[in-house]
Amino acid sequence: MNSRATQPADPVQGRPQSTFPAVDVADLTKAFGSKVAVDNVGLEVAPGQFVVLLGPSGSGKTTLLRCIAGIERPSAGRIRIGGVEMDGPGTHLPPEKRDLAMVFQDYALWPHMTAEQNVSFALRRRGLNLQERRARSVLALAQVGLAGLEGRYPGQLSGGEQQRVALARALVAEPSLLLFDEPLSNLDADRREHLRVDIGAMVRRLGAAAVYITHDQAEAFALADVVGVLDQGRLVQLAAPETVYRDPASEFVARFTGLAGELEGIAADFDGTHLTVDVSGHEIYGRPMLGEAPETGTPVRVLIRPTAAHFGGSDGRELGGRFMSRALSPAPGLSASNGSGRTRNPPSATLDAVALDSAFRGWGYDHVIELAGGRRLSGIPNSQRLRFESRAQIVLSADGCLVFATSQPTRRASL
Amino acid sequence: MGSGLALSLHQAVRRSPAGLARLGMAAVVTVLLVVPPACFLIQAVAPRLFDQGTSWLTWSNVSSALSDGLGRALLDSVAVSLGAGLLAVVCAAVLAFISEKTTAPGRRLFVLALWAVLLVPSYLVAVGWEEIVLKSGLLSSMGLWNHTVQTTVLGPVGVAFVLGFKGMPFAYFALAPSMGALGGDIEHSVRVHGGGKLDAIRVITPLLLPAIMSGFVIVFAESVGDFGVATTIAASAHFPVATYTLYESISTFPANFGVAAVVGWSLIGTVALALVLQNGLMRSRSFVVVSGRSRAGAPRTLGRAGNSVAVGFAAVVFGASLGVPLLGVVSSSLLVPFKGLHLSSLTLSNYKGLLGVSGLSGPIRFSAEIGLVCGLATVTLGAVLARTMASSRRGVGGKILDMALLVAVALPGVVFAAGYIFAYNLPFLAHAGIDLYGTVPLLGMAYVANAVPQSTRIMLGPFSQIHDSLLHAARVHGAGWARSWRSGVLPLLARPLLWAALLAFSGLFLELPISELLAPPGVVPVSVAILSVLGKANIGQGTALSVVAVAFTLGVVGVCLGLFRLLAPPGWRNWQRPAPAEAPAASAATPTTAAPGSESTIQTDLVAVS
Repeated sequence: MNSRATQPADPVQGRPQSTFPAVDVADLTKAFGSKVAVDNVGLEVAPGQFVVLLGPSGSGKTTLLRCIAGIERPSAGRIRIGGVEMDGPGTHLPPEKRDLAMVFQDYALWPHMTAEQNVSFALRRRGLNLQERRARSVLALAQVGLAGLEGRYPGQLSGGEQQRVALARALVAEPSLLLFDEPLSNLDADRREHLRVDIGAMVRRLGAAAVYITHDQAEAFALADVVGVLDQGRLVQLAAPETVYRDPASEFVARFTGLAGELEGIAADFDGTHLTVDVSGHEIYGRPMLGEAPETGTPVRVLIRPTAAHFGGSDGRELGGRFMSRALSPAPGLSASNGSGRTRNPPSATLDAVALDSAFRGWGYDHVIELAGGRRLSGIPNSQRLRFESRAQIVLSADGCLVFATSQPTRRASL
Repeated sequence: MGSGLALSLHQAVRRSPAGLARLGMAAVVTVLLVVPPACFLIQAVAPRLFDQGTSWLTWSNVSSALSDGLGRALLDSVAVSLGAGLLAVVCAAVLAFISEKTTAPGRRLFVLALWAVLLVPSYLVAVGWEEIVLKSGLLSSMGLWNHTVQTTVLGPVGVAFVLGFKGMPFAYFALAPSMGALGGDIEHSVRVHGGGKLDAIRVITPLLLPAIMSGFVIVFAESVGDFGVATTIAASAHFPVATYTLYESISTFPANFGVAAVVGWSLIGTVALALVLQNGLMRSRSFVVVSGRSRAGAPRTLGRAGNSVAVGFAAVVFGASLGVPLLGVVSSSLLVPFKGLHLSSLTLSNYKGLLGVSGLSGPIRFSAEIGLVCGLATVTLGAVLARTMASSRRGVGGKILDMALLVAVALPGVVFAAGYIFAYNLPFLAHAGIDLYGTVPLLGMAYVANAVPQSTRIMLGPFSQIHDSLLHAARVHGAGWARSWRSGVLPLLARPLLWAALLAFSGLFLELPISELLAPPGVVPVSVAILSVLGKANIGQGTALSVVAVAFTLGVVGVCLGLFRLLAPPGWRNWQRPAPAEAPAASAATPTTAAPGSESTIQTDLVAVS
C-alpha cells in the first residue's frame, strides 16, 4: 500500500504553514540481508500533523522511524522532509543535517551530563551562546515539570523524569519534525498516561509534525490525528483512529486494535448495510468489510469488538445499563469508509452464554463468557460480577461485528 | 588510470565510508597480527617458502625439535602449568569466597592487591624469589638459608608456584562474580526442602564448575606462554620449558627458525586445546542459573577466629605472590651481600650506581617513551577493534576479527617476537625498500601487535555496554559523527580507556620477550637491562633497577589516576552515583559500565580474554 494521509492538519498559530509535507516517504524499502524490514511503504505527514505508526514487534515501525531520522539508510525509495530530499538515489543526508529531534525508547540521555546539559546539547545547532542555551534549557525543563532538577544526572532521576528530560531535549530546539520511538513503553501505567497527555499537548502547542511509534493501540488512538498500521514491513492501513477502529482494512488490523472474540459462520441475507450470518444455527448481524458483502452461502469470519457485546436479560432487560448505552450510541463524527452510514438502531443478536471468568476493573467487571460450541468472548463489561458458570445472555450489536470472507488472506497479528 | 583509481576510491568512500574504514582496519590487523606469526610458523613444515631450506614440505624440523628436547620441554611446560592452574584456582576460590560471601575485614582491598599482582611482571617476581632463597640472598642474611628451600623454590615447584600466584588474578576475576551471585535462593531452596548445609554445598559447588574451569584454563594458557619465569628461575635451574626452548633456537647462530616454528606450534596447540576445552565447557554448562532474577545470599559474618583465618590466608597468598618477592628485590638492592641483616649493611650504593653507570637510566627513559607512544597506539587501535566487535552490525568480518584476536591472545609473546624477526628479515622486503628489521619502529610494531589483543578484550566489555542510542541521540540532535563520539560516548569510556592505556603502558614498559628478541643494537629496554645486569652478577644494581622500574610504573599509574580524579569533569567520574531519594530508573535506560578495577568489568574482560 502506498497511501497518503487523509486528514489535513489544523492550522497552528505562530508557525508559518509550509506548502510541503513535513514528511514525504515514497516506495521506501529497507532490508537487512535477506530480511525485508520495511516493504515499499509510502506515507505523507502534513505540517503540524500527529501520525502514529502502530504495529507489533517486527512490523517495521522502528526501522521506518530510523530511516526517517537518518539513522538507517534505506535500501530503496525516497524520503523528503519539508520538501528537501533526505534519502534518494545517490542521496543520504546524515541525521544531524535533517533538523529534527527524537525521543528514544530508552531515553538515550547521556549519563555524564546533567539534565540541563542534556537539554542544551540540542541547542548547539541553533548557534546560541552558552548563557542563552542554559536559559532556554532551564525553561524547557520547567515546562516539562522538572524545575529545580537541572543539576541532576540521569542516574539520579526516576524513569518518568528521565523521559521528561528526553522530551525537553527534543522540544527545546523547536524542530519542525519530532520523532518518538515508543517513549512510554518503559514507564509504569500511571506515569505513562500523564506523560502521554503531556506529549500530545506540548507537541501540538509547538505546532511541529510528529511521527510516533507504539505497539499500544490505546496509546495510538489517544494521540493520533492519523494512525498507520504496519504488519511485516507493510503499511496496511493509514487513516483516522476512528476509521481504523470502525473499518479496519484487514483482519490483522481488526485483531491488533482489539477484539472480544471471533465467530465463524455462513453469510446469509444482506440488507444493504448489515449482513446476517448463520453461526451454528444462530443468526447474528454484522457489517461486511472490504467492499462488497460476501455472497449468500460464503464462509465468513465475524470479528467482534468489545464495544459490540454486552449482557442482556432473558426477558429482554439489559444488565449493566450504562455500558449498554455506551455500546449502542453511535460515537459523534464517525463515518464509515465503505460508504454505509451508521444506523440509528443497528440490529442485534442475543446468544446464550456461560460466564467463565470475571475480573474487577475498578469501574466494574470484565467477563469472559463461553458460547455454545465452545467459542469464547472476553472483555464483556458488567457492573456486577457474574458467578462462575452462571448462565447469561450476550447481545451482539451489528455495528461492532466486522465480517470478513474467509477466502480473504488472514494476517494474524503477533501480539 | 591513477586519477580514475582515485576517483573510484573517493566514490567508494562516500558510498560506504564505514566499509572502507573496516577494510583499512582489517589490513592493519593483518599486517600487525597475522602476517608475521604466520610467516614464521609456516617454517615448521615449508622452509623453502621463504628460502629457509630446500624442501617445500618436510617434517625434518619436527624430528629435530623432538630430538633437541622439545618433548621434554613441552611436558615440563604442561606439568608446571597444570600445577599453576590448580594453585591459582584454589587460592582464587578461597579469596573469592572471603570477598563475596563474608564480612571479613580488608576484603575490599583484594581487587587492588590483585591488580598489583597483574602489573608486576613474572620475571621480577622470579628474581625476587631468587634473591630471597639464594645463598647470597635475604634468608642467608637472616641466617636462615637452607639448601632444600633453595632447590625447591628454584626448581619446577618454584616455577609452578610463581606462575600460579601470577595467574591468580585471572582465576579470581573468573570466579568472583559467579561466587557472589550464587547461594541465596538456590541455597534456600535446598534448605526448605529438607537439605542441610552440607547438602547445600553439594548442590551449589557443581554450579561453580564452569567458572572454576574457566579460571583454570586461563591460568594454564598464561603459564604455558610465560617467558619471564622461563628465562629466570627455569633457566637457572636447568629446567627446560617450551618458551625458553624457542628462545634458544632463535638466539643461537645461525638461528634455527624451523625448529623454533615447531616449538611455536606446540605452544599454540597446547594453549588452543585449553581454550577449546574451556569453550566446550562454557557451552555445555550454561550460566543461566545465575540470572538477573536470582538473589545472592547475604554475606556471612565470621567470628573472631574466622576473621583471623580469612585475613591470615589473604596475607599468606598476597605475601607469597607479591610481598615476599618484592621484599627480595628491595632487600637485595639495599643490602650489602653476605653482611647479614643489620642496619650497617644497608646501602644506597646500588641506587647511586644506577645514576653513575652510563646507560642504566637510559633504559628507563627509552622504555617510558616507547611505552607511552605504543601504549597510546595500542589503546587507539584496541578501541577501534573493540567498537567493531561490540557493534550490533558486525557481520562475517567481525567474527573473523574476533577469532583472529582470540588466536593472537593465545600466541605467546615470544612467538610474536620470533615472527617479527623472521618476517621482517626476509630479503624480498629489503628489495622492496622495507628495511625495518633491527629498528625501533619494528620493536614498536611488535609491542603494539602483542598488546592490542589483550587491550581490545579489556575494552570490549565497556564498549559492549554502551547503547548505540547514545550516539544516535547526539546525531539526531545536531552533532556530527566526531562530536557524537567526543561528547556523547567517550566520556563514559574515559575510565576504562584510561585503565586500558595504563595497563598497556605498564605491560610495555616492563615487557620482556619482544624486548629481548627485537631490541635494535644499542637500544636496551629496561627489562633487558635488568636481566643483563643480573646476568653479569651485579645483583644489587639489577634489583635496584627493578625497584626503580616498578616504582616508576606505579608512579605513572598513580599520577595519571590522580590527574584524572582532579581534572576530569565531575560527570565523567560520577555519572553512576545513585539517586538521593527514590530508586533510579531501569538499568536499560543507563549504560552500566562499571569502573575498571571492579569485579564485573574485569570478569567480563578477562573471561573474554580466554
